Amino acid sequence: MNGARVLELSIDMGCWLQVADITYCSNFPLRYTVLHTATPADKDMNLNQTVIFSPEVISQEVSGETVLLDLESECYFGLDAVGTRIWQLIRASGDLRTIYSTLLDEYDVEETQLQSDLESLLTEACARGLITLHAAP
Amino acid sequence: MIEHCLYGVKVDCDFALFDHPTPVSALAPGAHSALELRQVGAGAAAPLPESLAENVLVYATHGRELYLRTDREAARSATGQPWHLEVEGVASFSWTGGESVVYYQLGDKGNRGLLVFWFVHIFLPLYLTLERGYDFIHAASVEVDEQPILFIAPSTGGKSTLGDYFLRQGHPMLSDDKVATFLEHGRFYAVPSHPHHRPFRQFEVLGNPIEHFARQARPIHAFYVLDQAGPDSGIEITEVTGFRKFEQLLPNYLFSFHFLQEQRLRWLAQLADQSLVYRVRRPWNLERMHETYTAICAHARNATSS
Repeated sequence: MNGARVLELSIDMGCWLQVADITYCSNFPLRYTVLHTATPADKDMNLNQTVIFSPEVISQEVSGETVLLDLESECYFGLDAVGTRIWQLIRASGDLRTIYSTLLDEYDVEETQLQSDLESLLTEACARGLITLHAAP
Repeated sequence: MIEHCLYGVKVDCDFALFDHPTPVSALAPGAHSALELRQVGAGAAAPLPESLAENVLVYATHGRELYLRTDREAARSATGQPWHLEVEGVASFSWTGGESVVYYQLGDKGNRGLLVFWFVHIFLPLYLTLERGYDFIHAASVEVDEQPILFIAPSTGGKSTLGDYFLRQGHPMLSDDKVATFLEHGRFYAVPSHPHHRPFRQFEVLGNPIEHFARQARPIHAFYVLDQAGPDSGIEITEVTGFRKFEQLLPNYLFSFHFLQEQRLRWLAQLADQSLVYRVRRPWNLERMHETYTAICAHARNATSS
């Protein structure tokens, strides 16, 4: 873990934001909802899974963080720096065990805490239709 | 034909839109060819195929309903695509994708004053979004040391009032309501809109003419998101970072049509990524406007990302 960054994963990864789409009219208020923060899972995560993006989701990085747009639900989501790193790893590999190992190497975090935080994030992302989880081949 | 320059584009019209000239020096880089506004029946027929009824978008602004029609799944305009914007009872505008002539027709409640308002304030931003690839931000914008800064606030949040104060202190104004932007060589530019400002609430009025209108498109320097505080509060300016910048800009993207959503996300994220965004918490007190003005000017002159 040389050079590992010390971060409170459970806080940073729970930083989700949803902003509903608006139709044009500059005089209309924006409908805006802050979603709940992720909570730790209560059991071990199954790492023998593959993460697959929804084809309806596009992402853009903004100053080290990420905005996700679900074209189907027309909702926006924000990922902080840690969430962005996880998203990058999902894009690069999709293999959950590889993602987990990489994060464990990069961050100063206990294994159980990382599993819990990662599961919380992926569960939330699944619930929102941003990704699906499949058994690894 | 009378020549005008609006939103950085040369607009020719068979009558003068305003009593005062619009400087052609304000033409934006990449503004391409001129646009011509012609009355239906003045030498040409309006392109209005029956298929236009198939795709209709309806929205309301300034107390009137608007109907935007085209013949296919809506997207940014394609060559040959017919478009028709009807301002209920007042006027309609039609054009064909890729062409530079816009035909207008007055409705039974229309007159030349209303035509000019709807053409300049509503139609042109829509047309330029669909045809010319501009993206519009709902903001007021002035220059500080020849660098555009943009004020963002909810409706009645004070951006026009603050813009008006800057104008009266001698700062050129780019717009008091809609700022056209475009990306060139990796930088986002703000384009002067039209030489009017409206520091008051009134429907279907462009506002007062201004002489100190910005003369050219320049790279955007910073966004200032205006927050209200108590009348005796101090002034705080704090930087917005990460995806929160996107969150601040999102509600101010002007034409949030469903079919522009992917374009909107990519453009807004790129704009947020490259822009300085600050929140300004300032006293809600007109008598202390000069303090807000001074604080923002000083800040803008030294603004760099932390």
